[in-house]
Amino acid sequence: MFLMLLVFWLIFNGKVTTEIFLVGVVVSAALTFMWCKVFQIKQCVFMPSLKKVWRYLRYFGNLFLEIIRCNLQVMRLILHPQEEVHPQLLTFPVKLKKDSHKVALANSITLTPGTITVAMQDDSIRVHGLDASFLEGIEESDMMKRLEKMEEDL
Amino acid sequence: MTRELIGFALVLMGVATIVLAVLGVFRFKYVLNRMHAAAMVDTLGILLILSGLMVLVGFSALFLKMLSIIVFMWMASPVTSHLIARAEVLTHPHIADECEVIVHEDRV
Repeated sequence: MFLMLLVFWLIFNGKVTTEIFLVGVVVSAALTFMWCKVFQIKQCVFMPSLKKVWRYLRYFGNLFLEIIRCNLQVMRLILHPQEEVHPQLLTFPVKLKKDSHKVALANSITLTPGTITVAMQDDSIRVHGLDASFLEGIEESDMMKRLEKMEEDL
Repeated sequence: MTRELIGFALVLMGVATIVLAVLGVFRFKYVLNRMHAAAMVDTLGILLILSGLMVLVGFSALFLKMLSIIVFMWMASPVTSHLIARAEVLTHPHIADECEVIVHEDRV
């Protein structure tokens, strides 16, 4: 958290001088302190293991490729007006336990064009797909497997 | 010179993506279908245009600012489109007329 704020401070300032750096350190330390107070987080220092970081990076890389692939698919559908689309509303169960991972999954689904998360109740998720082909195999998708694997490690 | 060419090509591809997305908004007839076309703007359109500008600018603070624009857009846009979609599905009285509704029960 502290490092993240400091990096953003430096990026938005546009240049690194001693003055800016010191003010940044003070401001981000204060913000981190208040953040921990407000959300009542006992453990203020997060040290994710290297393996976990690698997992997350691979997840986002995978998501990136998926977004580009789905964009091309939607473009193809737009450019073929004679093709009828078959929109679907699919409800299926998710096995993820942590809320943050569920949110990550829902956001990833919405971020890829062609699929939108419509509703999310306790253990099931409702997805709208532009065409039936977008929803094929979404229940056992690669992204979900990766998230499940991350959960096992915890 | 090559850098400028690559940058301009990326920006042009991004503009083409957005033009296609606007076409898509008119081509589909129902709100939820149109949203898929609109989702193209804030994923691939933004990505291509900003990465084109990033190539033009080169590595500097401006580069990192543009990178953070992409990151924040990609974090914020699914939330808003999810809210629009949920409002539509909850308030539409005959949702089954517009799309096939399938429920996969727990098979765990």
